[in-house]
Amino acid sequence: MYVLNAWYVAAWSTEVTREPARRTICELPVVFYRTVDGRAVALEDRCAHRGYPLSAGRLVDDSIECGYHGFTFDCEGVCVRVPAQEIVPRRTFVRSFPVVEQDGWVWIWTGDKDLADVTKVPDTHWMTDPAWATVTHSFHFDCRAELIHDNLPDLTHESFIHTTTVGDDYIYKHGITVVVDGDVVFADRLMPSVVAPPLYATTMRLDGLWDRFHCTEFRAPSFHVLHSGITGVGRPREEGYLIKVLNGITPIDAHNAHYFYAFSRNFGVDQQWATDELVDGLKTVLQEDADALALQEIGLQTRPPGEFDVLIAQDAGVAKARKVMARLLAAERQGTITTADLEPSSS
Amino acid sequence: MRLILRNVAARLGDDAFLVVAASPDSLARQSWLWDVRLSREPVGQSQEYLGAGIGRHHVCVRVDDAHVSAELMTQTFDDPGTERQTLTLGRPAEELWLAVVETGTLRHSHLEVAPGDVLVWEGEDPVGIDITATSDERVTVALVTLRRTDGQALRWVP
Repeated sequence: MYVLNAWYVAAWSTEVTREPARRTICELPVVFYRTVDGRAVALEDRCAHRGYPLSAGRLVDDSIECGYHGFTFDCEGVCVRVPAQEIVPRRTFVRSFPVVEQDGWVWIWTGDKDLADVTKVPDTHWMTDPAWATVTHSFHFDCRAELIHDNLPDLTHESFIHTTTVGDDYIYKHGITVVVDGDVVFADRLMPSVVAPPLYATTMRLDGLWDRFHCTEFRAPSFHVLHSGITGVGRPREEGYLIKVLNGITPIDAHNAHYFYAFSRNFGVDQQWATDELVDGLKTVLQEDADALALQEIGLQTRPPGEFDVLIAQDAGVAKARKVMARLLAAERQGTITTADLEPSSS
Repeated sequence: MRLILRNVAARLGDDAFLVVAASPDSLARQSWLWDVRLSREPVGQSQEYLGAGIGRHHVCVRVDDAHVSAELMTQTFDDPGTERQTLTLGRPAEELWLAVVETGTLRHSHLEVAPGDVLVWEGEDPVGIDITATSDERVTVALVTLRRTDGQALRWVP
């Protein structure tokens, strides 16, 4: 089950080109391409004729031609040409998806088109703000998206999974403050007067004691912003070395997810060596998460029915995030998305 | 652990009651121990209020009294408008406290808190609770203190 009335990160802008590309999102096969004037398009990747993937076809101006029998669909998914006959059968269309391109990311709305509100695309401005430098990574996670949503609000795992990069035992020794504001959940931890973790100490060129903090902001159902950093002991966070970690989590199916990751920093912005260190260090962090969650996925698939997680107070953010997701799913189940909602408006 | 639930009281609406916090917070994990409700009618251990942005209501506490005991009290700032007061409440680490903000706005740690918000504290971080009034309006909170009857620490179960 997925929350479909939502924006999901579908791709980096650089991945959407004049070559059709396929991606599975919430079990929906989608083909992406750009129009001649550069607009990103997302269509159902299954020809209305016989189900052949349109991504295996070719672009003809702003349309996409099926590589099997030449059925051609415009940007709205309406069939505009059937080579073998003059008349295009009525109802020959593929579903088109609302798309927003912002700060280098392509977002797709997977639900009812009429509910697609572009103002609900999360803020990612740090990626293009010249005062910040950004490192990005993309990962395939062999686990359900929910495990990544659990992983981010509970950063005590850094003490055990990420010992060489961002982890330290002091993390789990400090309590959290969880704030639930509507559908947004914040899990905040302040760690006063501690040493910087290895990756930060290197890239920030720090030693001594600092106040470290991280606050995960979950914007259900697909996005987390980790507001993180280090500041002088007793000093305001805004004065410090600040990091915004943007995490786009997009389900593929019940056991796989796309992970789009961006790490923006306000220090050493022009220092290539720091960027290089972070590219390598953060790849290590993500691979450690991917490996751990893949193992957890296996554990959950083999867990007997009726057994549940044993959550503790440090999981308060996890628990509240799960509640928000459950509420969104329940609300969507109560609504009805009909076939008519999915048809192109011009048909 | 500190939990702040924003504007949760507004969800009461015309319903008879609303559970604003409970332990366990999710069903099917552990045995039920306690919950705190906002209710239009008094139920069990309860106190009537007019604030929280929802008019007349009751703050009600239910516990499994074989394991947990509770007290419900009203905490106010006495001199609103004269100067910004900071009230420090000493919470035993083994107790779990919950506050429903009824009137006035306040600051707790770096957080601004308003009527209708609910705060929960448990464990050792923090035990000293500093609350500073940030409005001229009298600050009133309904304060619920919960403890285990066997003297062990009462932890919040998500």
